[in-house]
Amino acid sequence: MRELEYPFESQYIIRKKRGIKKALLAYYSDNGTALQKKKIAILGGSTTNDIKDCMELFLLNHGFEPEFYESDYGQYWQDVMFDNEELDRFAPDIIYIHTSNRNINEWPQITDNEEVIERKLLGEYERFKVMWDKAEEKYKAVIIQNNMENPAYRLLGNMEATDSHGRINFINRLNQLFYEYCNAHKNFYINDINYLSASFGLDKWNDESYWYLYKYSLSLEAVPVLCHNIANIIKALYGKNKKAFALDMDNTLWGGVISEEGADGIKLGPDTPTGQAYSDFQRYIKSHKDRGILLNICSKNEEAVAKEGLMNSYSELKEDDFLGFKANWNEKSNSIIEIAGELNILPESFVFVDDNPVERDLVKNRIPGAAVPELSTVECYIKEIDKNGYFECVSLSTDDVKRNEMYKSNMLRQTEQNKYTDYSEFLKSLEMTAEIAAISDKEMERATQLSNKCNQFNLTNKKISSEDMNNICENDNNIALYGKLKDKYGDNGLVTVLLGRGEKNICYIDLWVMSCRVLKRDMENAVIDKLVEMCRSKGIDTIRGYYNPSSKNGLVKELYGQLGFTKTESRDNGDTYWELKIDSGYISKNKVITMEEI
Amino acid sequence: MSREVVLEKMKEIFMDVLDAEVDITEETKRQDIEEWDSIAHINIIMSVESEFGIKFTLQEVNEMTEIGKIVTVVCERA
Repeated sequence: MRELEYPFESQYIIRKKRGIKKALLAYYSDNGTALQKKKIAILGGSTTNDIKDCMELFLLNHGFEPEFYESDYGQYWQDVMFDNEELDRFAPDIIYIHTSNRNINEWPQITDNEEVIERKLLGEYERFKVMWDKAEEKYKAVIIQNNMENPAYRLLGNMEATDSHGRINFINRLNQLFYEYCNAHKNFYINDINYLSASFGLDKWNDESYWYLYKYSLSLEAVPVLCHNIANIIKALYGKNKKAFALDMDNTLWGGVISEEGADGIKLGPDTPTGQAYSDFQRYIKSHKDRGILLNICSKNEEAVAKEGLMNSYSELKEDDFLGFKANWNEKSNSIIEIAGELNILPESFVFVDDNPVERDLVKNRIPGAAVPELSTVECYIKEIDKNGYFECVSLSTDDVKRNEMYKSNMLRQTEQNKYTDYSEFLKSLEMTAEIAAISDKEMERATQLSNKCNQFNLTNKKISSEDMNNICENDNNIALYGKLKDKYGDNGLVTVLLGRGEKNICYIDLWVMSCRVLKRDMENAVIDKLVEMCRSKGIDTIRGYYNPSSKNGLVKELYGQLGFTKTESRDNGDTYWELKIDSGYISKNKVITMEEI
Repeated sequence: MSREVVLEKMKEIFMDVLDAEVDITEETKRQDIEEWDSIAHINIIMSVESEFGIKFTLQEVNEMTEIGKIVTVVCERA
């Protein structure tokens, strides 16, 4: 909803919050959208009523249906530390601890020596730490903790920051301890109100009348800013971040219209203030690539002309930085949908960046759910995109860095495929090599993760815990296989898991999954060959498998038939049972993948 | 600004914040409107401040127990 995206009007949101909530609920019910339920405990060191209301709006806007527990006034610490049946029953998914510098009990005094100040600092930290530890152990919930905002006044003036007696100094050191805890604990996140209050304006944030009248630690106008930020962390945690940019070019990536002014006429580079602003904006966009955000072009231009702009010596962005490149005269929403198809992501995962309000409106209407930031002029573009938190980061992994590479190789494979009329010729051209072997400790975590994640190539829909996986792999009667697949475009990593339970001369396939990244690559043939080989070495002569239908796994309904199994039974619930006799006549099925010995 | 104009704008604010059809006069008191609880009160005060571009003092807010008193302060200050 436009009203809840940056730049939003805080006072409008507070005034209209009941009406906004109604409108959001009506929208979702008209569209039959299923909302994701989340239980959130707000533990406050000051008043939290409006925080709850606003958080609800921003979360609804992200497709969540939050249910709240709110601590009594100022009871954040007691609620966790002492028996609390109500909170136990509530069983929160998320605990948000809303504290502020008003919750610091012991500030340094001018007369304190270093030792006393150090003791006070650690005392404050410990008080929080025992609460976090307890909350983690007791509720296994995600914890979101405010850091501390700067104080409203400076007794020591500028020395507040540098001297250990200063409150600003004290807060910075305390925050640092919070960050160290954060970095050492999974499921613990900092809500950076130190930044938010600075960005909002500390004097506006610290409106004393709200404290004296209602015990709010921040002004009411700052509440939507706070809640927008928390909702961003939560949506990022539950996989609702945006994934890609769809970028216009003229007056978005450079100043001017390239078809009219030519590649040398566009405003870009250090010679003019406007050119500098466009260069900075290009750098900002480009730095998203390293974070794993997919960059795409969506411009109304002749392709060749558009590419000339990127060849301008001042262009930070090069053709090579983009995955999807649509420079044509089609509807931009169609271009986005096409790119989404090529990348195999949803059109809603795009942030569409265009200076033209008409194009923005069209995309907003055609692709509800896609993010379309309101842009004003180039010097504001970065702020107008950044403050929305589309790509809020909750962890940095090496996968993020590699993501662009992975998508690029997927697209190259697709292009390659279009050249071949014979599919097996295409598969051979990929020069695939596979490693298939028994799961060892090294593969255990990824194998468990994959087993629970695959929906399409999933024969039995069994969910499996790390402990189950461990037990299965340890039992010598069983055959627990993983498979990795590489090709000339890149390494797909561990992509398949098969768990076979050995009983006398029969192996029962209890679970078989494969990542949708490598469907239709004949990897299943290589897996079954390997299974047969391992069965033989264990004296097993029969393999039995079953298919349990779900709404998503229709793809593998006939898989066992295709692999030469015979159907032995069809049950009323849709399950089908299959059997393969291994005799000396078994012919290897894999013809396109080279097996790596390990 | 006349008291009538201020009252009219206050009516809009009440309807927005309470999201309900309410009729207010200068004589309406906190206890007369069920939805006008302490939480709504904070939102109403903030909305009045932003609507008229003023900031009430602590003392003024403390004395705002009926509509007429709010109107008086707004007329003095706006």
